[in-house]
Amino acid sequence: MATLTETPPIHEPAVPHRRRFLEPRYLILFGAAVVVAYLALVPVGTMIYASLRSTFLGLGPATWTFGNYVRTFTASGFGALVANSFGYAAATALVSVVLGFGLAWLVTRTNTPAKGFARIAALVPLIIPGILNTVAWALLFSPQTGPLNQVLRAAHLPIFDIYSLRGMIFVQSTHVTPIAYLMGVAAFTSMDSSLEEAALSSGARPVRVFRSITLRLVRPAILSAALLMFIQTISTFEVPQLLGVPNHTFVFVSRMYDALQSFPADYGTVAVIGVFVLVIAAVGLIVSQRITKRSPTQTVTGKGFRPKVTDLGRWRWPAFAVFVVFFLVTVVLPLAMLLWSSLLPTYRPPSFAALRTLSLRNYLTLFDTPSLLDSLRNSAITALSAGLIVTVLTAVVAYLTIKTRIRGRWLLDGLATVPIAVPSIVMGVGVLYWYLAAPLPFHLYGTLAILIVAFVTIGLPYGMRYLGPGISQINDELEEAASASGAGWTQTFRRIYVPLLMPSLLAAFLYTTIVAFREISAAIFLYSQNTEVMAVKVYDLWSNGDYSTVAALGVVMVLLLTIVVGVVRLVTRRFSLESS
Amino acid sequence: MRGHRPRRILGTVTGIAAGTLLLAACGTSAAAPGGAAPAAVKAQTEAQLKAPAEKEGQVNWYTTFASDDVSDMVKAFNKIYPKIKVNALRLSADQLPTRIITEQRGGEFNADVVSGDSPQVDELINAGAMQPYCPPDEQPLPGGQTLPKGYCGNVYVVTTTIAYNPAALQRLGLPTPRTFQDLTNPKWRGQFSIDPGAVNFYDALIAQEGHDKALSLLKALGANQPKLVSSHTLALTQVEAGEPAATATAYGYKSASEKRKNPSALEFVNTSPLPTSFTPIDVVKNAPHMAAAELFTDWMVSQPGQQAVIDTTNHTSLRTDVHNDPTVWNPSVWKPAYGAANISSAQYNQYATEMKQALGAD
Amino acid sequence: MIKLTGLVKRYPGRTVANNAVDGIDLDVAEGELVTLLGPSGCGKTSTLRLIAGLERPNSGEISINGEVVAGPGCFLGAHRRPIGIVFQSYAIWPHMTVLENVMFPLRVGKHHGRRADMRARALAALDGVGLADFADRPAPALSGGQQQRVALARALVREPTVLLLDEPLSNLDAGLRDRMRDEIRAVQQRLGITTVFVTHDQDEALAVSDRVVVMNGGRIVEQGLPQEIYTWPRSEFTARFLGVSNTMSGTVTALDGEAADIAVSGGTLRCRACEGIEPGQRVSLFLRPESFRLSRRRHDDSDWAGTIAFSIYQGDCWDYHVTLAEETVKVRVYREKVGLAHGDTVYLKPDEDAVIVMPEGGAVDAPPPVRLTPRRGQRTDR
Repeated sequence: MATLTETPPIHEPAVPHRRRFLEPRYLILFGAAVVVAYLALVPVGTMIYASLRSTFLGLGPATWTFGNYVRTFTASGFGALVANSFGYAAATALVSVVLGFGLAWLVTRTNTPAKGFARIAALVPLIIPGILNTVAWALLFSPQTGPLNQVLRAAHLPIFDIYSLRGMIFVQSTHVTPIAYLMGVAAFTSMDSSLEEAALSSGARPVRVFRSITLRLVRPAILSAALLMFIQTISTFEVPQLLGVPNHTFVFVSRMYDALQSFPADYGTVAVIGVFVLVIAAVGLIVSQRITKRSPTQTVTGKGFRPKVTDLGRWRWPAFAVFVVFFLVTVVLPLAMLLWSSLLPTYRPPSFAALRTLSLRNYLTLFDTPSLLDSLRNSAITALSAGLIVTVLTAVVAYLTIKTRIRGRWLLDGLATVPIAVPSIVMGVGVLYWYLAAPLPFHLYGTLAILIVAFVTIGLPYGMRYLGPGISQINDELEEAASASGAGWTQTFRRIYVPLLMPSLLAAFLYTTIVAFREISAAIFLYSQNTEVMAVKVYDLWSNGDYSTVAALGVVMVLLLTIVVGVVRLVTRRFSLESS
Repeated sequence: MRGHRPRRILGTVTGIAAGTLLLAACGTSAAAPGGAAPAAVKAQTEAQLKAPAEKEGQVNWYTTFASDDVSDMVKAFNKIYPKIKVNALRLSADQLPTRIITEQRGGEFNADVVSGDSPQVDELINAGAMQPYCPPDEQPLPGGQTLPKGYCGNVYVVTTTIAYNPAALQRLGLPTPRTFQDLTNPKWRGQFSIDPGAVNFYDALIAQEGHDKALSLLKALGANQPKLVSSHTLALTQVEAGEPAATATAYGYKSASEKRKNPSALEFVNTSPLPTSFTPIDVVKNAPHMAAAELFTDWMVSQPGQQAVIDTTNHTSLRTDVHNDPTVWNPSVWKPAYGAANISSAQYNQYATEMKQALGAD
Repeated sequence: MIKLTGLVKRYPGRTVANNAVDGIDLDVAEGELVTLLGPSGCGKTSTLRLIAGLERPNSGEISINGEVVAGPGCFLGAHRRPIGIVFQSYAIWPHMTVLENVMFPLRVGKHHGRRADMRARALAALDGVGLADFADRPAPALSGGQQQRVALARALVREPTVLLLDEPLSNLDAGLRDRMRDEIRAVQQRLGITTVFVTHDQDEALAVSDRVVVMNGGRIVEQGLPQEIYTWPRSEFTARFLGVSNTMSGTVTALDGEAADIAVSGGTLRCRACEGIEPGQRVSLFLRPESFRLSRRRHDDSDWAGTIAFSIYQGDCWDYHVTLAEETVKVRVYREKVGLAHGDTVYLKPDEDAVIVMPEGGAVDAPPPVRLTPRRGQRTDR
């Protein structure tokens, strides 16, 4: 109609902009993408390769085969193994999500007093490494001598056997519920409570509103939290190893560890189970992402709504009691047990008679033992480097996937998420075999670098979780304004993105550093003389029955992590105040 | 090692870059360490070894010594050889062969000296991972036993005993066990622990009463629902803490030293015959610090080394010129039943599998 | 000054038929303020972003000041173009003070001078928008209008050749919007800077522009002086977009130079003819709501009788919907005509001189020529 000129012939982008790829922006983005792809693919690739070879790292000739799959899936007891693993992970996910979201609702939406208990308890997974939590609970609920079971027995109640599937579910839940709680808080605070008010004013009773509006709106968050708990549970090592194996309850991870300890190591079985877990986790992740994407709540997040507070009336006090119990169970009891054991020359269950033997001798021993100090130093170096590298890498990758339209960016996003679906034990083995077997021109085995590589890979998804939302909160126009002001891309990144992202960067750094600090499942295959890290040392000491030293070391670890968390929180608060 | 750190990190970065190009070549070039056993190295005198060993400056020792004993052993060695740094890697017996073979197949020769339970060290020897070597001051093994040809050196023997907590026994109304057979009594159901990987124990039982009887004993123990605890030391600590009440696979040396520390919480019973296993020490093939490895091995089996082993760890030496703990080792009271010092891989695998199955750890 | 030739922008995942910018040719003369006007999704913002260098064109060429900044084989990023831009969201960096925001373009420049000089220039720019006293405030502490001014100062501090404004007023309150609009126009005229202004608001466009470019579906529909676009739109799209809400169809009965007699359902109107019509042809007529005389009484036989469907009181005027024999028309009355209620009978007399005639189908055929300078007074020459 009113077109003023003829439409020019449409042709594909006329020219390859060759210079474009030499700009620092593209070099940096490309470099980060390559590194992430490499890190994510190595363990997975090695595992898939090993699962399809007749022998791996063996002397004899190897051929391609599905034999490992057939053998593993048809082995007697595989059904029970799958049932145990799924039961364990699913029950843990259920328990932790119900508790976590319940508490989150109480904190964000009700007038329950003393919510501070929940806030502190939420820091637990950050400051009590899983292995220490497991050790503490193993002592607390030891069937005969555990103080809690003695209480139960005195009350003529049946005792709780911690060395059972129920015990595993319980301990793993105490460890991951705080994570579910944090996810719940995020979901509830980002939900506009006018949506609930609209339902109330339509004549729905509060219970109905909760069921058909509140729950419906947080359902995607619940599902993705449950999935995350499931994956974390199915792939962590310490609980099944310490609590399941003594009572013949095997799950995927402990079966893999067992297969690797036998001689000759059964790589085929390990790899097949690893691939199996990976496939399950990947399917789960894809499903959960689909659900989250389709969810309408995505459109109501991001703004600081003032959530409506429900008056619980007389129910405030039972709710208050829930907080206290949550705090006791996740924080006080395990820490008290560690503290108690750390003060005894040899471990004895708590009693008045044992009080006389308390001393600080174990702490003195700690500082007197060079191998402990070495492991502390190694942990500090590897965790801090891993935290730093992950933060930088994921900042660039998150930028790439969120702020650019470069083709294949979704793939990169996926790759950075892959490690969450790889059980850390497989990660450790994959990384180990790759750096042993691949014809590489350098040499990482027995160095701290190989640990850092593994920790960085494990940390990638966590880094993405902090920096993805952080970067998408930054309006594109802030970057464009800098560009239009004459700032090149590197200047823009440094002067606009870095300062604005500082809270997310610090949070990502903190979290990935701590993940690396407490990581054991992968480290246990990768350490060597002089490169032992603290979490491995704890496992080692526990395996040697040295409860007292474990406990003393644990208390020191908890103190250290508390300080780190505290400092970073302070710094973060300062930054977010400045930029708010 | 300290000075390498920045280079290691740099190595990571370049490594990652270079590795990308090689992704496709995954796992194709595992080096093959096996094949013909290397020629035996002729023992040298201490004077000949000391200078090159000090020049190497360090030795990597893979060991099954208990963690807290390792650093004391290192201190004892460093009293005499202060210029040689000992980097110890403490591993459980079952981790030992996998670790070294995996390293060597990856072309990584890291370990210099290995000391560990004899079935696992035999595995390593059979796999061609070790260097034949006989320390000059070595005394022969008792009972006409030998390690595979060309290999010598034993650090200590361990005895397997039953350890229990007297208070727990009283509380549960359990009879004091005297033999392994006693633990098959239904009263003991679920009240004791056992290590399903203690092939050296099984092996010694076989030496004592033959394969079939030993296996049926294990099966009977397994049927009684034992707790499975791989670490013998952990098992002892648990008994001291009162749960479980006893452990079937306690090491004599550790039971005795724990009993001294905590007499009210621990008792142990030496059976006769007493299951006894060797713990050889050997130099690893292609050891990066060969001279230091030999020097370390020589010291370990020598009289001063052996006395240091006894004094720091309470382990038992077979040398006649040392003083062992009499509550652990008295061959005239508890007749030792030695496990085989030379066991083939097929036999080892068979024993390991049988043991796991019998104890329900499969 | 700015020259766009055959510009095409396609976003991934869209079909070729849905190009965001679909072949735009445009010249903006030195010192001219050109407005890109159109509904959302018409491609006006994409065009602006292409000029800024925030997007790469799929084909076509852009040159600024005679230098090709985007075209086959070459592309200069935004940071290498002589531009200043004000965004709809202002994009004030929240982690900097007001002064730091304005100094930023100077500091990142290749040849930045001493800090004191930069500071002085930034303060001068802030002074130009009346914010010198706010220099050391944290930027997020400012109100919307103030942030707007900071954004303007920041865009101008580098003394760019081209100023680009992307819906700069749409986030402001109604009253403030008029004031800022006038300020922007004043600053632009004072500096004589070549400016491209993107908006969806016709009042804004008419008020500030030297020339208005109406866009739809990624293409330019028409362009011209504000008053000419407003009074004599040449396409139905423009007419409707500028608030001409009444349409009728009719037939040309006679043509007499500038005048045409057109028969419609209610009688014959003597209107201003347009190019390319001849007697007997079907044409479309467009009437603004305010181009009627509305009365309770019949003044003339040619008056159209109708009834009031409903009425809206607007404060300074009344809007009535009047049902005629065959259609409903919207009528706006500025006089105190109170008391008309639903169902009342009224008589309408269209202002024949204000009727816009187009050949049926809705557009005047001849494409207006692309001009380097604003066309002045062309209509009145006739």
